[in-house]
Amino acid sequence: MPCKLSPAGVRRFSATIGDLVAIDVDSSGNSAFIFWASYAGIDLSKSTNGQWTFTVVAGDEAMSILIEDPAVGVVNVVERCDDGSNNTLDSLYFNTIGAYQNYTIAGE
Amino acid sequence: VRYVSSWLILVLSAQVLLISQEKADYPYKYVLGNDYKLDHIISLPATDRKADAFEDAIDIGDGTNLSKLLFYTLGYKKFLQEVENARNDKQLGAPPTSQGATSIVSKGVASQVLSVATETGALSRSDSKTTSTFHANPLGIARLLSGASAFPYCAVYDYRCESRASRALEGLSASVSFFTFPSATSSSSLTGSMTDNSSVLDASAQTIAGWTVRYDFHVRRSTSDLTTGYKKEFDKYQTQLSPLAGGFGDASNKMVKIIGDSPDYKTWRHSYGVRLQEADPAAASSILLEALQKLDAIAKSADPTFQSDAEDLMSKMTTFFGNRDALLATYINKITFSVEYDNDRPTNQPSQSTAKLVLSARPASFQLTANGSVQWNNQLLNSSVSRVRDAQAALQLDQQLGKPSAAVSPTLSVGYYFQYMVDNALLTLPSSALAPGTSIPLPGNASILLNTKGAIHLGQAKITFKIKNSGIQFPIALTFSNRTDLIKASEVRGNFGITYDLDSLFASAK
Repeated sequence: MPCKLSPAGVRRFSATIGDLVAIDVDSSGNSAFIFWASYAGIDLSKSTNGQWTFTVVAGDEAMSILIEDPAVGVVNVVERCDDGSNNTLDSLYFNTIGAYQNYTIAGE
Repeated sequence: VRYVSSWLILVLSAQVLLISQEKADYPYKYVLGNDYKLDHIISLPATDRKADAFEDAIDIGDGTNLSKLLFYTLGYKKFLQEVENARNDKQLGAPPTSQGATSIVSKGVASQVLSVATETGALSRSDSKTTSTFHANPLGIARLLSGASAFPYCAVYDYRCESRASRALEGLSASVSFFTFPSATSSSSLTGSMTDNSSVLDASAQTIAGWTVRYDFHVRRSTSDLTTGYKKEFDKYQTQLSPLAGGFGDASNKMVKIIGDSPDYKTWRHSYGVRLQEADPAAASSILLEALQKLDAIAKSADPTFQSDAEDLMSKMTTFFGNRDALLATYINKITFSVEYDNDRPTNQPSQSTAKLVLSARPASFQLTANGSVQWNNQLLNSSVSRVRDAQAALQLDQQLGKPSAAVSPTLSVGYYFQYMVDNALLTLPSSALAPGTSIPLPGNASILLNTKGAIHLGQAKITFKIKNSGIQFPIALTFSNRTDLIKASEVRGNFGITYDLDSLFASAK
């Protein structure tokens, strides 16, 4: 399956334990970016292509990001899938007080 | 006149404060919920409005809701105050040509509403005094008087946050300095060959030390420019911003986990999702206020240390925002400069005018400020001296030391100031006075102080202690100079002061 995350409730996604998930953001001006991310209580490192990746572990774990967008517009939080497609997880109008976004990833 | 003027300013300040307390604005449409998501859901036909979508819009995992909970619990005023506190580049004191000053440069940004500074010790002047300086921003005061929010928080790149008229007027500011102790003595130690000029520097009890009008220009990048270069610029400050972002994210995670794990929270979110779905859209605001009050109660019940956790999160969030805005301001504002007119009224000299250009930049982690100015005598008093009195140039670097979130954060400043006295100084002395060092009576009310032409070099090292969340700063400086404006003798002077930026106070009143 090219995309690993499936909707499983409000701000909640399920995935298979051991899956490698890549998170990023899209915006119309291509100006939005993630500048901090954590999963299961551990800060993530940004990969060379600008994506933030983590390996799914068992149980409910928080995946959090801090977003920045100087264009101040609609930002989509997306999973970059193996086949090059994007799986939109959330869509929000960026405001700096809403830079923090938190989702639950259920590892099954 | 001095006391009446001071009292008028204080009364005005108190009035502004009281009015601002009565009329506080909140800049977000809904007290709880992501405004964009709520507006979108509410705009749908009733049959298409889903409870799940409302639950998503009010979920604590959305940073907007976490922030709004903090604003409700701790006050939006505290948020504004703490962001304000993170800034480090304001002009609060008297200009360097004053007889009571602690900074050899005028800084690049004036106070947004009102600030007060009391400083002791001149820099380039021979006659040292203590002055109190009031800086005021007309637009900031007008906004407070009219009840509009003087400090809506706008991220440094969020151009749509304020109107063009506000932006144009915001750069205008003015200040007036009073001699606090007209006959204060100098804190200097003279070395070298002192001329006889010191014998004629008899301070008179004058009231106003000077006044200033200035305009700050920020030439900002276009939005299209921003979208292409902002991230690259942001990445340059990774070293400074990453730990602050981590602190902000970790504190958010902690609070979201505690609240989110509470069974009461899940019940709350579901019940208000259903209520919002079933309610008339006109009732959404009142339902959201009720939901916020209940969320606050759930948070306090789930987290016995909620108050301190909330304060910790707000501190980390505002430290990140404030530092990001300060670091990125130089990129956002392609050019930041101020033009300033100073009217100095030194004792025993004719009043003097100064036209000044202030340039401000942040090339790395430090703040760089440069000044260039020309000063002229407002009256020549029938003397033969040149109208142009002197030219000045100054450069200062400011580097914050220690952690930005510390209770007391020191900033180290080092600077160089150059002044060239184009002609001999002009003094105003009573007609009965004698020429310096002689028994020859001076004609009329003016006298030329001989042998004061030439260059003045000043070097300064200064530490400014900034007390977190108070608006209070204590600058302490040591200034070395080869001479002063009237006395050709090298000097080492101690300068100190206290500045109070009332922006923080006004912000806390909201």
